[in-house]
Amino acid sequence: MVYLGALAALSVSTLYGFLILRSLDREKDIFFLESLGISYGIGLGLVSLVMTFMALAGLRYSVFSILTAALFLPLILFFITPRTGIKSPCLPDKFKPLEILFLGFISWEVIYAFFRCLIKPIESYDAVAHWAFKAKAIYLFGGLPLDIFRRPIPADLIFTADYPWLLPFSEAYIYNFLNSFNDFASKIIIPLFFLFCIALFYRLLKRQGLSRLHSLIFTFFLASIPQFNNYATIGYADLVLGFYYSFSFIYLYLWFKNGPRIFLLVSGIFAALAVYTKCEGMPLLLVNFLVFLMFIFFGKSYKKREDVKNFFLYLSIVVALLIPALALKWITSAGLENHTVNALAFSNFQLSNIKRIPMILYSYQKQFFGIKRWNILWIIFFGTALCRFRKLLEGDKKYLTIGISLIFAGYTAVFILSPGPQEDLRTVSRLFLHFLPLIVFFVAEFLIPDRMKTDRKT
Amino acid sequence: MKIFKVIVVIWLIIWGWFFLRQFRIDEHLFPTYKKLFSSGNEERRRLVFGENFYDFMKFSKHSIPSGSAYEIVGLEADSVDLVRLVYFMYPCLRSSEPEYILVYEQPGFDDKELGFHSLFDGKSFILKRKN
Repeated sequence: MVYLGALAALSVSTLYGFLILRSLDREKDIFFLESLGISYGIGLGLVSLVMTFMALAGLRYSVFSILTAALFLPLILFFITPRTGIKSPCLPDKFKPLEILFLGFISWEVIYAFFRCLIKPIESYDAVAHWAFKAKAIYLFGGLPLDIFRRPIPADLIFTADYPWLLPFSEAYIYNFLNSFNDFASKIIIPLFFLFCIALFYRLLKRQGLSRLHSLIFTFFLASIPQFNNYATIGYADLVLGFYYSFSFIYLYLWFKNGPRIFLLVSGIFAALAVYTKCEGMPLLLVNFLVFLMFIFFGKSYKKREDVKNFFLYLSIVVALLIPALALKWITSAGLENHTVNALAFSNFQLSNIKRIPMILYSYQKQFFGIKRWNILWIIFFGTALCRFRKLLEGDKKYLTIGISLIFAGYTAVFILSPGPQEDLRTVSRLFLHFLPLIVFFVAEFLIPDRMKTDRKT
Repeated sequence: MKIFKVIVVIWLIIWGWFFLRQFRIDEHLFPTYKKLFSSGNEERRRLVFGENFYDFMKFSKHSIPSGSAYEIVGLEADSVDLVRLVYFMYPCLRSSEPEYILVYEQPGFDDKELGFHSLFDGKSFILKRKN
């Protein structure tokens, strides 16, 4: 019963996300399946944004106040933009046996992930210590007091005082909706992100012109990566960040390839929501900006002036969404700069930290050959990059290559800058999840020759 | 496209192999899943956290007033059990100036400043600071 309540809560937020998406997608460029995934992400982002504003205004949370405040933005957008309706889902052609087989494999992975997630309460270390604990505190406080970390609160929470609030807010939203604390119910958020990630990924591969069978196979690759699948079940925020960031980059890339304007808007919204989810969202956002600037200065676009305008539009979306989140972060964690795990990690930078590079690379290669966690994904990834070496920096595809290279460089820099104990490198496997869909997308883009792709309008 | 077909076949073999292997390595996995699936939420918590430990957490939460300060003895610092207990006990707060001491599986633990509060079993109990 509590699962139905949680699903009802998430359906309402998804409906709000859907209203926003419909208002922004004036040309009806987003397909139905795609819009469900995007709406789920936007909906939870909207709830978090509203709860952020309410916290800044000192208001208490209730299901009525959250949903009423959250309805404000979709309603305004709905009334000021022309009606467009939905791009109606067309009936697919008859599935071939092999397609049914892979659809079955994907369904199995999704069902198995939901099963493993929902039979256990939130119990993994970070899921409890970083996210669920804050959600419980918010629910029991009836809001988010700005001095939360100065009140009597377990010292364990102060270490993560500067962590973003999207996941605790989402969990607390479900508790408010149910009017009771039940961490079995709130746990459903993450496997739903997994499900929509799979659906959205499939749709984007189809957009790239891949056949249905190829799209299903690559979607199955993503769904069946043990590390990715496991993180859909344990309540960590890494898969959520992987969802927001990977699709923000892929939509930006598709927009570079003459995609419609809605792709740019979705990319901007998702990039900001990545920062709402985890601190790592910030360097990843920087990668999007850098790639965008490269597109303007080194791309072959003949509409430079318009591209610059669009860059500022992108920047404005991100900044507008981030200001409240950053304000909340600064206010709640003010004065605790020397106590948070991030500040402690970065306070010890020395030039000699460069010596850590071999150790970092060693931990990377352990992942690349870690078949138990990643199947043969990384081997295929490097094999594809090697075989298609000449095409890596050709045309629009170069932005994918540059983006992934910048992400690797960025994370390596973080490991150099934050010289924690060697055990910190154990988080490498988790960090790779933040852009995993992007890696599978890269493999699909380069492995399947262009001649085998249908020429679709992205 | 031959290479792609080879990749798909290898992927499927590894996928199937590791999926089945987890049940071979951990023979309790399937029965545990079965038991968790057929249990209610309370029973699931007991199974996941450990029956004795979960009962101790519940006992502690009911034995001390909501919002009071406590410290725990018998759990390793930074262990997942400690984090689970602190989360479960909230809004009771773990504190360096505790009113209560939760003693988990440390039968010999004693402190002269503390008096006996309540007994969970022979090894685990709660002490209270003397006024």
